[in-house]
Amino acid sequence: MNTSHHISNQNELEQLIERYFDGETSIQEEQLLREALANSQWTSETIDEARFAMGYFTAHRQERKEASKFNRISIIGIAATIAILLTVGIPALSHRWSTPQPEYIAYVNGKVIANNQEAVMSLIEQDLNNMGMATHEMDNAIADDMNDISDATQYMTNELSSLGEAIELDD
Amino acid sequence: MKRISIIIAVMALATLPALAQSGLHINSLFDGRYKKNPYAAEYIVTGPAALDIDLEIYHSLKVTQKEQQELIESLVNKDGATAIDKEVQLRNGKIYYGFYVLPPSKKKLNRYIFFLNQNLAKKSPKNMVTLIYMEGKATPSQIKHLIRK
Repeated sequence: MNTSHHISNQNELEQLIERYFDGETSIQEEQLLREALANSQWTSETIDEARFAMGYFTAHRQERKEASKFNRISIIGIAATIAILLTVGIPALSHRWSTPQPEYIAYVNGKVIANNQEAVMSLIEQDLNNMGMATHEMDNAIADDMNDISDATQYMTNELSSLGEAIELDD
Repeated sequence: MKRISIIIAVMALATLPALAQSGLHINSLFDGRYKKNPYAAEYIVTGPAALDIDLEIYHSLKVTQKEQQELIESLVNKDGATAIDKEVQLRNGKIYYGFYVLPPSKKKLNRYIFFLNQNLAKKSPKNMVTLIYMEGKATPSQIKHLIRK
């Protein structure tokens, strides 16, 4: 390995990186490697990984950094948009899905009356009125039955009372 | 993709019982058979606060055909047998008026059935049987108030 104070080509740099990660480099070589990573314009998967691993994002990478920053901003923007849609949109949509909008439909003698709230509600009102009248009629019938029972009880009481008085008179 | 398809299929199957309001005999009457019947009327209101109270479903039927009236009464009788509360008046051995509070649905919603046979009315009888099914969070007293107002 060339241990002079200069790395002359990309291949040499990659070999030095491999030796660095294998723990075979001297302090001088590590210094050389750092300088090369910081100052050279060579790029490859190995070199880029070494730069990331060793924390080098040097000036010569500025253009790429700008592009990468733009890409990162775009990705962050898209991710944020998706996150907002997920957190706000889906609950709102699911609320809408789980809460169907009011729907009024009537089929009268084979004809359909759809989405006419006023007409359908008018028909339903008639149904409810009929039910209400029947309920009142039933309430009245129950009241009548109770009155009949009460009258019968009173009649029986009076009869028993008269019978008791007659027995007393006989005695 | 296959896994997603299976999940969607399972979810779709899971929603079917909820949509079908399973467990009620009268549910079979609401299969659309009366929509084109010239001797029947069917009213459907679905959605939040149907009829301005806490109801999600209002579904009613009115029929004039004798055999249909008898069918409705028989199914109401079956569902009425499972009611947790009921008010029923019989006339001539038939249901004249019935109000049934059914066990809550799987969605924990209250369910009610009203039945009225106006053939048996003392005042102004007419050839009409009405069935009303209601489902929602509304309480029995709210339902009673709805028909008494």
